[in-house]
Amino acid sequence: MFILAYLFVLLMGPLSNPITSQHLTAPIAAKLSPLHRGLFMGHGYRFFAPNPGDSHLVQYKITKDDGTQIEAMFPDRETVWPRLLYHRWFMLSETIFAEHAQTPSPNEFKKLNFEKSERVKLLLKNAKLQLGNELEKQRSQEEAEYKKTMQRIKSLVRTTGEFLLERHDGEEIEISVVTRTIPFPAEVRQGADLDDEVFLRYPANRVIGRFKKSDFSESPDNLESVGDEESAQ
Amino acid sequence: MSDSNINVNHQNENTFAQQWTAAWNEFWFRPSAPQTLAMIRILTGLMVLYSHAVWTLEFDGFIGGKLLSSGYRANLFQNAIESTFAWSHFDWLPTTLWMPAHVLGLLAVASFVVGWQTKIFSWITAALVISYANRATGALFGLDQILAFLTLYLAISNCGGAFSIDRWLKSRKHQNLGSSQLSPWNSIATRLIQIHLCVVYLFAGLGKCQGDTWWNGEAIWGALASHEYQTVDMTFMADQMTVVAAITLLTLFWEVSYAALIWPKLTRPIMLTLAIPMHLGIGICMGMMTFGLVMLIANLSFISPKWFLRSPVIDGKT
Repeated sequence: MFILAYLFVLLMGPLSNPITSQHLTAPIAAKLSPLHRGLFMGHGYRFFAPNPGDSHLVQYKITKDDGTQIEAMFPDRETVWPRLLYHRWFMLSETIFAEHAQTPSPNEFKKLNFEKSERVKLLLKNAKLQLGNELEKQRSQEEAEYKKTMQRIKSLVRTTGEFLLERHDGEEIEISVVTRTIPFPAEVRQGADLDDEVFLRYPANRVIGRFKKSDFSESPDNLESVGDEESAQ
Repeated sequence: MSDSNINVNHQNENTFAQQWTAAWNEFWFRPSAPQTLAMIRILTGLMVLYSHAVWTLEFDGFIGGKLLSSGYRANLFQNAIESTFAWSHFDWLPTTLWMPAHVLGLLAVASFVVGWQTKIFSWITAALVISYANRATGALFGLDQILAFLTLYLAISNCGGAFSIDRWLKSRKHQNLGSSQLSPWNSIATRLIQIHLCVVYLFAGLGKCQGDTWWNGEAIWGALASHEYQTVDMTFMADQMTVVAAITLLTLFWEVSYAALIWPKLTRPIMLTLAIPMHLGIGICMGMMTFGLVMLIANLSFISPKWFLRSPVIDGKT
């Protein structure tokens, strides 16, 4: 019985991650989450699925106190060795990008949230209390989740900025994200290199953080991580 | 229905249940030899040692919390309970002890590799792998996931029963250890590794079934032409898209069917043989040698201990 129970716990990982059913696997996985976390299980194992995708890089521009600037990015295989360490930086840049890409900007969220509030008001006005309350509950959960996600993004960008500023002994840093697309075979046949600039895509709100050295003596809550207005698309 | 028919049916049911129970017990609990697990222990331990040694190079950032802060990690989880279970021993130590704890951890893993006090150090190694993974959330990939389950299952086995200092010390005292090395825990650990590996491949394959490029044959191109992954220039494959498509579809079929075809004796050698170029290809062409190798190490669980046999007494069935 113990083995069967364990196999159930094992299977619930990929059955609930990255896609889950709110009606079946999500509640079960939530109950199992302490076990999954404690044993570092519960992964989705979707390696290179559904498609091998674009790469996401983090670029940064550091200004030193004498005015000189350093422009670099990670992951950078020219400067990071061994390969495993390079891969750790690569995963960090993917994480930073994913957090931003999967989160709507504050303005977008504000708009969506407003639309939902109006729907709730309309439902309640038309005496559809149950449906209205249900939607309101969902809306407030999403709002709380969004605030939490934004805090997490801020925290990640801030620590990255602080770490890089300290490493390069800089005064100011600007952090941005960039996507490197995969070239078509025909483009490579015509002589394109994989690292050609032409394959880089800069999102409209690519700058995700700007910090000064002095910012890091303050509480994280008082800081802009760019753009509460412009980042996080 | 006559009484005799009822009796026959009843007997058949009993036989059926007994057969299933016997097969279940045979599958999970038949004592087996430690050679395969010992080999997996050495190779997995070396991989953990390497992985943790590499953390040393950027310890402050990834493990020390300068890049991935505790606030960030806590925020990832749904609630305080979940966050609590994402434990790391670094959370319980003062910062001044982090580096000494890291060095001691490396020594513990080294003891696991050479098989000294393996019973103790196998659990410590498994705990260290989980602890570091929980600490470096945000910089992890498949390597960490595979290492975690391998070390966990090795910890419940008698993986120090062969190719180890423990075994050498024991054999000095007792000339013929023979069948005393056989253990049902070896079987349980081996089966757990095998089944976990099947789950990994099955969901990796099913996930790929959702992607267009795995069906139109271009997925492998996407992997080969990614500048960030590339280590060996394979762009000449742009002229060989038929080959790329064939490799893509073969990879998809192999992953989806692995959980079924790895078990029959007829197809197991084929599946294991195909695993070698696939994972070495990932390692050599995409710069993920650690991941490619750890998957091959996990595949060793399907090799009988007889392959690594030194003593004719040992019976190993997988």
